[in-house]
Amino acid sequence: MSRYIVKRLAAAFISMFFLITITFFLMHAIPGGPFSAGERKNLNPKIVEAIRARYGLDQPVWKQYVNYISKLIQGDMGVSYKKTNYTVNELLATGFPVSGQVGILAIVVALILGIPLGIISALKRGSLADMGAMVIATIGISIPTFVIALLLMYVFCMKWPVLPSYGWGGIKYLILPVFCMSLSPMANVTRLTRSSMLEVSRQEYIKTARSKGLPEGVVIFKHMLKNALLPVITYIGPLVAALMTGSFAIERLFMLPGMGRYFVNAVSDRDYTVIMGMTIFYGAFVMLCTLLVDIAYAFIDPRVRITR
Amino acid sequence: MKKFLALLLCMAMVAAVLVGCESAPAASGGSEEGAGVGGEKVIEYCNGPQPEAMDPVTSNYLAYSTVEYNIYTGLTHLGPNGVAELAYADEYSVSDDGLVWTFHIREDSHWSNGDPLDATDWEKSMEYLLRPETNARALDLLVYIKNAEKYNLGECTWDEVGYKAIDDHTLQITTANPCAYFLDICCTYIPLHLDTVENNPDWAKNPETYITNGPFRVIKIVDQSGFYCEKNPYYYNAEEVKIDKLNFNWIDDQAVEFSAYVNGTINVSDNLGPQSDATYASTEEYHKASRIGVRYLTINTEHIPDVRVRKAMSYAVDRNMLLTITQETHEPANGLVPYGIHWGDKQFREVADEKHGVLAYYDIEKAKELLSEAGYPNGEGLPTYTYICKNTDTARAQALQDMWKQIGVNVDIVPYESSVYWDVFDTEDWDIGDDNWTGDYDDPNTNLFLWEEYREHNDDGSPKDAHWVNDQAKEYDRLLKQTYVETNNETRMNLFVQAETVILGDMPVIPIYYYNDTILIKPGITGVLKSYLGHCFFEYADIAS
Repeated sequence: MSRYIVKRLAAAFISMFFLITITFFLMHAIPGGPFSAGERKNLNPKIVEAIRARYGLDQPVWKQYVNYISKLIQGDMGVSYKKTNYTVNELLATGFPVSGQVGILAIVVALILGIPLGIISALKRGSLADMGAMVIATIGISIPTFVIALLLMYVFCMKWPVLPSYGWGGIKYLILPVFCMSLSPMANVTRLTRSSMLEVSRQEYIKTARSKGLPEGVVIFKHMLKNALLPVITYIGPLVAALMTGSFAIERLFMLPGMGRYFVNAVSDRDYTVIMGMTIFYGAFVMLCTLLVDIAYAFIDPRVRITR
Repeated sequence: MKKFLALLLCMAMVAAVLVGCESAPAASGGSEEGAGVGGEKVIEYCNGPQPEAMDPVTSNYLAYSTVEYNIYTGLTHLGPNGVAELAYADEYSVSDDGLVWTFHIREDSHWSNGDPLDATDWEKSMEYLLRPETNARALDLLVYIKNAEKYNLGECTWDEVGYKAIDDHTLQITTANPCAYFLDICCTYIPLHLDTVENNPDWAKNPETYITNGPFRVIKIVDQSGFYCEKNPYYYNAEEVKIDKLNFNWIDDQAVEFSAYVNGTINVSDNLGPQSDATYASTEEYHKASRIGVRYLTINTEHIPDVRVRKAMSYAVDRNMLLTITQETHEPANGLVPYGIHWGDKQFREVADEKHGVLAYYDIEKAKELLSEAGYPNGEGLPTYTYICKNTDTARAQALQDMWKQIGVNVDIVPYESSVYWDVFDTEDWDIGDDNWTGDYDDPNTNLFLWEEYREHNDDGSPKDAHWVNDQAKEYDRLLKQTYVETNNETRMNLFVQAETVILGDMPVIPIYYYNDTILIKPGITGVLKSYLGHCFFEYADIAS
């Protein structure tokens, strides 16, 4: 087991190296830069040059890369070019708790609502309840979250103003963003649960369980659900990473000071250090979550063997 | 055992995540702040997203300026009527040659923490801003000071710069040229609390170290959420400041800002979308003010060398229709100096139009006539031109494309991301470029300087081929140069009128519209000043109880 983990971690380091290198050079290859001269018509070009030199942007890209890597090894991700008073480490330290909090709540809501909906629609296949659950799931997947967010904002912030339309602070600021963010994963969890429940219910051992005369509740929760949840767990790994690192649309609409907004704004602003910092953090987080899921998977399903 | 381990791992994952969340800052959005506890007068203001930089040293953009001029005050500032008047300077005199300005700094000047503020603070602050190592961005208005640019480029010593404290309460500024609008410029000359600014690189992130001298002072900063201020008791004119709290709320999306205004979370909304315009345009909460900015098209005169073609393209633009299509509330432009710039008590625009007639307007017949005169009847024989714009401006581009099609001129629209656009613009590899400019002071020069000859050259001295370098350009340049030395206002303004006639007679740029700013203010709030630069001032505001 520990050998497996060590191997996975080594692989993760190599992937991380490629991720950093490719992102770095791609980012410098796209046109434009953090200090574009033309915007300020009466700025002396010499001053722009001086600013670029201060950030080392006048050096060849490979040299900038070497500088970046050597600083990164010391844990310094540099300062933001656009938010000049902030270091990337600071932006991550303030942004991640916000995105993480909203993300984890959205996952909890998605699981609490999605799994029961999936079970019900699988057990009562073809019934009204099944159709209802599938309609909800389809809506959740097909309507973009920002449309739902604006709709909810119209209802709960303008027509019937009971919730704040933006901001960050108490529980009431969390309700709308969490709900919007949980909708699509909830739909996916419902569909996954439903289909794997249906598959499991056709297995021989379920027939055996029923013929043994076990109560229906035991059959469903002990025999069916335990196996049916495996695909859901696989799905949760990347989902945790995606939701906890923030959604640009939701953070922008509800003005949550999270990571998602920094990430997307950094790309359009060509804020190189922030792009790198966010990519590295996101990459590391995805790798960690996948690793944890893989390990958990091995424990839950004895058919999966990781040690040879 | 394995099940137990699995459970443990899952729990560890959730726990790890929750630990990360616990340190979340307990900041709040505007609504609770805006409750106005105990009859406090609170302005909840919003003007779109948070500006990139939030201090006067690294900021170079309009969006921060509204924050800056509510927490800092210069030697002069805009009075309640929007015209520059004395502020931290209570008296001034000018030498006969118009070059040496002597300001007396108020005896009762204080920083927002109560420390005394004197003329040496003003001098040291300017030295700090101009020092090359500081890398300050917003220097364009400091170069009026003699040798300021040289000092900034490390080409002279501070002794040679014309910005000196003579004693504790006298500041003497020597300008490079006589400057009729220097009091407007002095609004931007602010002091910095150097004890903190120089020693603490993080000063602008912390309310305790963000020491200012304006009508309001900072009490709380939450990055990406808001910037919260209160009345500054040490302000020289604090008695007249009626607002207790001024909160800047950052909202990226116009639709969200609109909903926040409708439900009362904010009471002054300064970033309006079509939705706000449609809902409020006919109400008394809706205010419109002209800003001294113009949107225009720059033409690559080497690619379109025939003035008749350029003029035909201007005549083909129905500016009213264009604004209807793009749902914008601006004013159709018939010249290059916008409304808001004064000629004595009158608008420069109105006087100039009387003098030289309207120079740019919609007349499709005239456009067609000019084209056939130039040898391109119905556009036959003309190449397809390349029109570049930002990808947020394509609606206007398409409308223009359609209007030009009516006279047989075809254009291809090439949109660019905004972070790339100005770099592409600099390549001059286009025929028509979307362009705009908002001035900095109440004088026609603030817009007309854009086409001066020195700007039409590359760093190595070679002329930029896209730009305007013919005989008319030289005449234009000659007229503008005269305005720098002419001290009689009437003669000077007439020179600007002539200059505008010359440039629009040759049409290297096609004016499209003059900017209007729109703002929503809840009933009961009075005295909000929307300046000609587009900044919002709350020093004179009040809220009816």
